[in-house]
Amino acid sequence: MTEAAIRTSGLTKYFGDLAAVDGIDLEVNTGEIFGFLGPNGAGKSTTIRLLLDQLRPTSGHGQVLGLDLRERSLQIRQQIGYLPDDLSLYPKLTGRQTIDFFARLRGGVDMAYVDELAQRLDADLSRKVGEYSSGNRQKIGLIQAFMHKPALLILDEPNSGLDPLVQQTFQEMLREVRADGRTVFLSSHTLSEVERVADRVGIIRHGRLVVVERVDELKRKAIRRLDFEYSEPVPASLFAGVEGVRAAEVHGAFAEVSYEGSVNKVLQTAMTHEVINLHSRDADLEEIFLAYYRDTDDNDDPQGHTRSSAPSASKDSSHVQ
Amino acid sequence: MSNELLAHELRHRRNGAVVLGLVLAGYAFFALAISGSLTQTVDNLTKNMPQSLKAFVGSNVPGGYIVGETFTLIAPIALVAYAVIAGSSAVAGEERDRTMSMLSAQPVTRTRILTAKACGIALSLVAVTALFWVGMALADLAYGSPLTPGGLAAGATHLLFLGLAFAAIALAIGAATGRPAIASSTAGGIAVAAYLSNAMLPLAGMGRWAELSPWYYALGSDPLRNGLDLPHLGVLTGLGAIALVVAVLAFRRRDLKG
Repeated sequence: MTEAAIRTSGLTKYFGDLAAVDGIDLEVNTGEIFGFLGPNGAGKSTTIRLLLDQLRPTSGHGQVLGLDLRERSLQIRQQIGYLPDDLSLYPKLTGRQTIDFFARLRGGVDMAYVDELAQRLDADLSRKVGEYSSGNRQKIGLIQAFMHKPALLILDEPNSGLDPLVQQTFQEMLREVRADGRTVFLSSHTLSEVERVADRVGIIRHGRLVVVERVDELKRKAIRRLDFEYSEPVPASLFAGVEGVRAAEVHGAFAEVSYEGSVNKVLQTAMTHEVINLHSRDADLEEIFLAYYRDTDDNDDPQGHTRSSAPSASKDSSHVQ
Repeated sequence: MSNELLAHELRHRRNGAVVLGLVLAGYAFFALAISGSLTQTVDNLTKNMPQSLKAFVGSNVPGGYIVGETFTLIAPIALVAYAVIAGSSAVAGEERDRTMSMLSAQPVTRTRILTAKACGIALSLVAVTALFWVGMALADLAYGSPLTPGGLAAGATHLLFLGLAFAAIALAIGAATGRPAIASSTAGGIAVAAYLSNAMLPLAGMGRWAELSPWYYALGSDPLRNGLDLPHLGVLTGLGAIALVVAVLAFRRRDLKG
């Protein structure tokens, strides 16, 4: 059995009374791209900073690359590449000087590979960091994280500030790391950034790991939406208690139904009245994410009439007449 | 590895230290240049004053009032202010600027980060003091004075050790709290209180109490006249060493802020 790249058990961090990270049991396999998802403030960065020994756990422990977080942090940091959230660099150094500084601090960095990375990301290394756009600063951070071909990349919100073309290159680079047998731990608050590359996803909410699932499995379990338009108003409780329905909202002749699993029962119920129009939406991780993330008790009433998820983005919507 | 950290630290501090050193050197040069003519005037003013008041005014040192002001007021205040600012921003400043999160993710221990920063500050203070001494010594050569290069070197060395002690105190508070504003205000406050107590307590006939102040060990032995006072330098070194140990222990233990 290959060793897990990251393994934590009961990892907990309190700031005063606030549990920023609350008993996280995490296992990231060697050679996978693991998406670590959660909204801002959910505890992603705190977890990462515990892994790097920048914060000390209140309780629990963990290993990175088989090494104890606390005892062997130096050896861990030799083998990882890290990009912090909201990256700050020394404003008076140029991009090149910044990379040189971190490369010399590490030792053994192949500068030809640095140039290759800079070229691929289209990064400008000539000017002072203080004069860069946030996108170019982020590129410097990425080069710095990738340059020594680390066994584990820990990237905290790496997409911020990158334009779509560069994001594509970045995702290629992540796949190459995986093909190389190395591991990526990728944190994000946006699922769409992660679902294209990640093998598995862990969702963190209020410091707790809510779910860890394969991305394709999550998609299969995804909550989907059907919007019905009727010829005349239908009862508000039409979809109450129907198998698989997570939430339904009825306004006169319009109904929006969120469901998981089979569509059959939903359709059977829907067709007890005359449907004149129907929209369906493809599974979107955004919705799964919100379903895991939302405070269910705030939003659901016993009859399931209340709208449970907020996304109104209707990408991938298809239109059936 | 830590050489790289030290080089980085020195690059960061170079300009500030050189500018401050040149300003002090220039000031010292011209102060000494005009001191000959002023000394007589000030001596007439202060000749009937008690010894402790003369010490407070600064007219009881060789070279008289101007040299006294330079050595007991201007240069130490400039050096200590620089030391406090550099010390408090060394570790805590990187946390405020959030560059610490990248730095501490590199394969370097916190002790190495802190040691490199402490060495960088110490070398900057040495450079500032050396430039100051050069300014004084040149003026001494050019214009002549009751001072000797050796006496000047001893006085400057005492000031250097005072600066090192306060830099270490500021570094320790910054390393313990991660907050540069707290570090600079606390260490700066201690420096001012210690300065005032060293200057004022002898006036009130409480000279013994002034020995609690680090300033006493920088100025009290009158190094311009008497040369190096090794026990006094030892006290300042001990103070700095204790502060450094506290800095390392506190910095290794706590959560980093940024």
